[in-house]
Amino acid sequence: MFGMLLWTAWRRHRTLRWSLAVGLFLMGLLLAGTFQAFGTGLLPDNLFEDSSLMNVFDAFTGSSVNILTPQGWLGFGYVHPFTLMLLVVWIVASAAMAIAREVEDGTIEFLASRPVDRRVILAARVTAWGLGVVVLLAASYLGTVAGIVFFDALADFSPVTALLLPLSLVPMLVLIGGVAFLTSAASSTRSRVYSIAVGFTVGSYFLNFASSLWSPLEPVAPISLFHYVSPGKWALDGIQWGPAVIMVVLGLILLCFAMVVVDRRDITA
Amino acid sequence: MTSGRPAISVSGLVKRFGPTVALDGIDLHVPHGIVYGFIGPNGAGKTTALRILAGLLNATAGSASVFGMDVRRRRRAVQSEIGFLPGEVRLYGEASGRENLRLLAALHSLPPRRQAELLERFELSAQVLDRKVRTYSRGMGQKLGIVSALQHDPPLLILDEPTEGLDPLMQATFVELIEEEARDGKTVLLSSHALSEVERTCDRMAMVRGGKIIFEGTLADVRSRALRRLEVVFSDPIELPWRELENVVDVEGTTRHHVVTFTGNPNALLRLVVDLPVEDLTLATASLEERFLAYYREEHS
Repeated sequence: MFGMLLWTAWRRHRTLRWSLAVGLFLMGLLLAGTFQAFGTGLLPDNLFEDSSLMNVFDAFTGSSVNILTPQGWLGFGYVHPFTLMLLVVWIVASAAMAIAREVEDGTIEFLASRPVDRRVILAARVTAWGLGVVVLLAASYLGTVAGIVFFDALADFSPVTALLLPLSLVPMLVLIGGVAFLTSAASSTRSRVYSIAVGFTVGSYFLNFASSLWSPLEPVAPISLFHYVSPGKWALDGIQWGPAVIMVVLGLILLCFAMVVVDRRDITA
Repeated sequence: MTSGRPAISVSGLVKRFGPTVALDGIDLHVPHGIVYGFIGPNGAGKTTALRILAGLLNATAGSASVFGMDVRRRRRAVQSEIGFLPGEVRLYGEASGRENLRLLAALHSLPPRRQAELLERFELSAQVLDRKVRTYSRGMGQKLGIVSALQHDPPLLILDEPTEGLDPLMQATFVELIEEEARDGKTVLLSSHALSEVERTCDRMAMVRGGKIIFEGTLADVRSRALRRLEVVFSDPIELPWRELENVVDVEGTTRHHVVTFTGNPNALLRLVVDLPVEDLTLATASLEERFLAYYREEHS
């Protein structure tokens, strides 16, 4: 029963998933390729003597790791708005399709009137979503590794260390996924899921960005999700367990709430 | 499962959607092995009641049980015993008919032992089943929905507007099928506003309006309580004491052409005209539809 539900969910998303995977692969490749052009060629060595400019780069990269280093540059690639957009499209669209879209389309009536636990339906959707996240991060990683192999400037950067870059995004994606799935479990339209989950992500991103550049906002920076996302730091110093565990636990709590909500809600097409 | 308890038992069922009261304390008892019609105008609360029984909605108050099992507390056990057809059949459009049936079969605890037979009866060929559902006409989707609801041979069928979109030939096939189900001891609860269908298939019925059951009984009960019309044309002008008869509701027409609306048995009216110069006499047999309309008007007034 679970296998059938998982297979159905996996198949439904295939076009979106593979399109995004190609985009993330190319983005990973592009970043590795452009390190030579920007990191070691275009940008002057004394660039960061200007502290305000350094703050801007810190805001973009999500950490204080020097952008002219491989860790800093590749880390920047993993929190680049384009990379985030591709990942968030997957997180939000697949979560919206899990319940809210099925309610909106009316297809949920057939599933929910069968003797199957609604939580099993949601668990199958979450599993398909999680496998999709693995595929997308793997595509991004493979793009980065291909860039490391093809472009000499990053020859000293270990592909094993590069694995920490996509891994650093997992806690954030679990938390955004938790928000999106909880909203989907409680909603009857996919647009509501899009607006809440995307609003949460974009709002959080800009709060972190603005607080990095404008000191009066600094005290509120810790409430932003992106305050804890730092691929460059992971690549430089290893796994940042504290923030990672907090985000994963929060995401899992939200997923548990989603299970309770989907089990108790009214199915009204 | 087929003990003395009714197949469906609903008591004081209330469902509110915010300020809107969809069901306002309905009571319903459907015995085993009968076809029970649930009729009423759009928005009366029929679909809401069926959805509660199918485990899709939670009642705001009251209780509903199927084969003695509370639908809220034992949702999955109840769903194992029913075949549910929603009011609007909406399946996965990107998947083929066969894939949709396979998924829905996999989600049921009983094997789809009647699938092949039903596909043949509803003329859903292998070629049709291999097509994506989004290419189906409404009728084809409806037939697939009926097959998916009945393929496990469940002891209780809950069908919301089951003949919507079916052509007359398929409607006849469906009626035959429902008659067979009842003969086999299955219980069928179906909602409809196609009253002729209810007349053909149902043993008992409940009429719903504004979230309340305003009538419950057999077709004979409906006939006995419904309004009928007697038209008499006399060769000469005549005054008759129609209004003195207990079952006369209304008198219209002229002194030669009398139009009398009444309820129940016409014997008393016919006795009044038996020795008079009658040129023509018509006792209108109101369709079930007209009877219900009359019933609604009566209740409303």
